[in-house]
Amino acid sequence: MELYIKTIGDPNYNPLKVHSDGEIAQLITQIETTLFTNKREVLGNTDFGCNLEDLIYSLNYNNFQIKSVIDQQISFYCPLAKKYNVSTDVSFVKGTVRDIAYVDITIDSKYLLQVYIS
Amino acid sequence: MAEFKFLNTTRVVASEIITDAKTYIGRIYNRAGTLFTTASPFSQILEVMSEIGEMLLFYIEDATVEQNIYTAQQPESIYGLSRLAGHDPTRGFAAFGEITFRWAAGVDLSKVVGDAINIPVNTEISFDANGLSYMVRTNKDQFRIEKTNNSTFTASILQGKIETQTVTATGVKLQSFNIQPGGFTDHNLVSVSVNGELWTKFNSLYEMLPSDKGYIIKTGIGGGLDIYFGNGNFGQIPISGASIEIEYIKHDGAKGNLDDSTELTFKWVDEGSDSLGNSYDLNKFLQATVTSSPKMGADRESTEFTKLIAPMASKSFVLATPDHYEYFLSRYGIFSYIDAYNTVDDEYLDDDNVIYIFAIPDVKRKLAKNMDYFSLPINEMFFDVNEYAAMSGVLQESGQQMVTTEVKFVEPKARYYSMDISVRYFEGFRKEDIFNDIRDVVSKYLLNITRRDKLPKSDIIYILEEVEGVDAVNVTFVSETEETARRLGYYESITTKVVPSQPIVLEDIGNGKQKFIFFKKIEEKSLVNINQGDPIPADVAGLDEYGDIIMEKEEVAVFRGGWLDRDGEMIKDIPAINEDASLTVTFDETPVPRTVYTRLQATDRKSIVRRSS
Repeated sequence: MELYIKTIGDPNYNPLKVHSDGEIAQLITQIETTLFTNKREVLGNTDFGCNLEDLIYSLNYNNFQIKSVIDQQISFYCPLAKKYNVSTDVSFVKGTVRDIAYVDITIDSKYLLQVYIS
Repeated sequence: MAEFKFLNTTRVVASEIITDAKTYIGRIYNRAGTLFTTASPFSQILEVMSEIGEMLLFYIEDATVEQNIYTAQQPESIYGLSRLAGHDPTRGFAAFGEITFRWAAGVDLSKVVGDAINIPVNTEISFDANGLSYMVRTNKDQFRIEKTNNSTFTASILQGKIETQTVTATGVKLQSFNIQPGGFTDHNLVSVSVNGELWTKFNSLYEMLPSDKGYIIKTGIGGGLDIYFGNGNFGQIPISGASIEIEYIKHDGAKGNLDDSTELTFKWVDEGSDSLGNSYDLNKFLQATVTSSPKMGADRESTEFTKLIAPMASKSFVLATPDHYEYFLSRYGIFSYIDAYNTVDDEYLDDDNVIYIFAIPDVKRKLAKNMDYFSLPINEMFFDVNEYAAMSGVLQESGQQMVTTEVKFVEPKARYYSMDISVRYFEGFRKEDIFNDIRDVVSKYLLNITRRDKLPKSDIIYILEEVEGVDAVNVTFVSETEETARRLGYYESITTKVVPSQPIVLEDIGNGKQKFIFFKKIEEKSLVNINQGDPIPADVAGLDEYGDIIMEKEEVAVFRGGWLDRDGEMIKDIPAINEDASLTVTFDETPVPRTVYTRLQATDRKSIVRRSS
């Protein structure tokens, strides 16, 4: 059992749901929480969170380093990722204002969680 | 319902509560506890609630702890609580001394226009010894040195500089202002003027009459000083818009103290002037000497000291009991030990109005670079006449002494000892290195000890066992009085008797005056012969049956040489290896082989000592 944290506007949002049951759904929830949390946002656990925005637009990181950071966070904080095959891919495309970053997280080659930051 | 009772009253630490909650949730939802990481929103809520709970407990604990002066840690809490106890934390004291000056011999006074040179009040001088500024004080506007006047002028000097700050009155009752001078200010020398008129300082609001133009000063809880004015019923209210000028002395605390024994020189920084306004370099015209070096300077009171002293504050602002005297003097921070007492409990009544003060200086403040206990001049271990006079001066000037009370400073009696240390040492270590380390730790111990009844040799053994290279150590204290008695074959025994005088007699006390004697104190001295091996009473030898040093109320144990032992051998002043000295270190001829086992043994011993302590 896990709390259902999707909000209006999210894909496949179900307003009647309050918790998610399946392990895949739990894993996706945990990965989303990890990706969209910045470090020091959670009281008592300053290391939790990917800091995606800072990470992607930092001059010191390339694709592989960003992927490594995301993998470390998922590996440490999402125990179900050990049960299912989770892979991460980070790519950049040219945007109009600034570059757009795509983070693709694939679970068991079936489910794709894609995040883009522009 | 029992299944909901997942919290255990014996596991109340925050981390235990959250572990129990996670175990419960894992059991209910059939999920392993490891799934509840920070990435799980459910778990995250639990963790954050736990953290908030811990913070709440922390704030509650902090609030509780900070309400007790003995457990409080924040300076604001300690100073605030001490204020409630009637104690005004000391802001520091400017060092003061005395100089004399006169026309320099052979000076060409024809260069001075007019009849005299004028030296304004608070003229700045600077001592070469510490480079700090001092002010030449007088109650008049200036010193006027007539060309024809060859007499010597005496003036008090005060370390620091005068600063003023101005605030504007609001016209309301009980106006208060916090002044932040940034540094030490003199606790007593503060003056407040309202629209140019000097107002009077009071100790308490209730001392002021409605017509009194007065104020009270307290040390600010957050630093600086707080000025409070009256409410109309107790003291006048400064009218709205009035200019309030606060003048204080900003000083350097204990750094302003200088040693009497050194050759002190200073320079005139400010210039003098003649009646036409011409300036003169006073260094060229005046010959000046320091008659009393600056002393009694003190830093701002530390919070640790406030905790100790606050309960001793006199609520009536009167120095009534010995405790009050200790409280008053210890604020100057120059003592390693101070004991004020009276003798109302003995049969001798004639000194029952006398407060005896026994004080030992904090010699750590007098240590120069590369100096230790054994190289410190012995006169620095005690207060001198000038320092006692300065202490008397501040007591009298406080105006807080009771009229019938008399203060006597008890001069400490130095009893000389030497310390013999026998050392078995490990091979691979140099004797000289071990000796220097031993001298260093023993010196630090003797400089820091404040115990006044005994000096146990086990203390010394304990600290010496930590010295690198020492395998085993033994310590013996040798008393000068015992050695002298054994050398001469006798010792002096003093018996004091108090005898009622009938009828009442008058006794000369000097200056052509007499006082009534109701009880007579008689001291009888007798010589007691001893043979070799005879025991010597502990109070004569200054050593108890364990060989530990025992100190009478007015005694101070001093490790110094300059005396003869029982065999007529001179004890040297400076510590030495294998020689009779104030600190003698004797090494075994053969060092202990440094094997794996001896090293392990030494390490084990140290860890046992650390664990037990």
